Amino acid sequence: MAGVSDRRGQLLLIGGLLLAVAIIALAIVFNSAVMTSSLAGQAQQDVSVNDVRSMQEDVRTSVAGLIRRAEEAHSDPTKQEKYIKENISAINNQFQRYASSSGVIINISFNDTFARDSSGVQPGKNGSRVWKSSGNFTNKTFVEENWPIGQENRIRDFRVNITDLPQYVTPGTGPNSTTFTFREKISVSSESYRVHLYNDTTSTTGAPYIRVTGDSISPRTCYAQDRLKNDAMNISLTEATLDGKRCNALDFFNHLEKPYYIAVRNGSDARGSYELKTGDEAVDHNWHNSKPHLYGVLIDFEYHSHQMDYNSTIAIAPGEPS
Amino acid sequence: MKLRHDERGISRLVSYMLTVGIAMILITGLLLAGSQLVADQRDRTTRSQLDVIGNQIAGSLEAADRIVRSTEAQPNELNITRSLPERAVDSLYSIEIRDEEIIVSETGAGAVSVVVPYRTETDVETGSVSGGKIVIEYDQVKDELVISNA
Repeated sequence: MAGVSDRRGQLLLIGGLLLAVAIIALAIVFNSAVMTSSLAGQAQQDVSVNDVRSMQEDVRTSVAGLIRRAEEAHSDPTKQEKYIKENISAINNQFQRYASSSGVIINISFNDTFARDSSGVQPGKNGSRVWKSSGNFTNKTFVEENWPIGQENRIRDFRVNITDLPQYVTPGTGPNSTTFTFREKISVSSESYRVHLYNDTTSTTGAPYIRVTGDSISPRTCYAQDRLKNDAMNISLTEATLDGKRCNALDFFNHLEKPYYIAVRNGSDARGSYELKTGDEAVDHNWHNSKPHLYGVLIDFEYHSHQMDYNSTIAIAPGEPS
Repeated sequence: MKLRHDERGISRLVSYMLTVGIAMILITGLLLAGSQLVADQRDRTTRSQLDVIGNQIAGSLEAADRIVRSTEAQPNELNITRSLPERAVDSLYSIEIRDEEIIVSETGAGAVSVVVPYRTETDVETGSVSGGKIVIEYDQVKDELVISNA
């Protein structure tokens, strides 16, 4: 009897062991399946381009503010540049402190070289301030070599203050509008856009209107809502505003390749003042005033993170069309 | 004599062996099916991981392209470092850069490979690199993006 029990015990033991091994093997196999399916989801965080771009935009905005302050503090371009050089380190320190909290190293410095961009224009350094304080605008057509404000008409802060405007009903009829035309300098298939300024005689108030026509856009308008006929209106052509409010009709510069010609038609029908800054320092005319002025600056921008090393030279000229 | 008095259909020993035998057959069947499942799962996982790697490289290339294009003048320096896994499901793999597509291939017999498209305006130098840490660099002279192992 004792012999029978021994044999049964051995069988139980061997059977149990075999079952245990089989179950462990099963567990290993299914664990592999679970492990491999979770592997597929492993992915490193993607490189964020927005960080470097937003940081660069912030730098651009800060340096543009510094240029504005330099323009307010000094009229001489040499002193304006000196002011910027002296204060750029403050902006650099501010950005370095801000970026270090996220493990990024930033370096911003003034670039002294006279670099030219892809269109051959020197966006940094000195240019001219061109203005006319009062009286009639001067006609300049393309035949007359345009508005010769320079050979490389990269412009910023083009502001027009108009006190008198021609009466104008519809394009092509009646008295003409005073028209600024911007045309690409390239000779073949160049785009052009015309900014017509007039008092709309068909409206009850005769409000001053801006109508923009162009090669790549359908005509569009905006008008000074609270103004009556011949009320003065302030237009920023490069920043697309009318009396400080957004004028979407003026959003045409992104269709134009810099540099461009500027022409004025029926300028004598309008009265007022205008001012612009050009990237060309060789401006010499007797029909409007011009004076050397800082056009913009070149800034070296470095960005180093654990994933990215970026270094570029950026041209900053506040008030350029975007 | 013993069998004459035994009223059971089979002995305890046979009964036990039958029970264990049937259990073993079931478990063996499960193991065989499980092995095939794991092999299939491994293939799917490898394909999926290579696809993730390919898309990460494509994303980084397109990111580099956006930075290059958003810089008014060309950037003086642009390096993007990506730490990709050394192996995909325990297999080495290679990355081949072609025009507008990336081919990520497992090395070895029965290798799995996936093709991931990408779109950039900046040219990308064609070539091959192995898995692991890679660097996407902007070549200012050639005006193109170059991928190499770090």
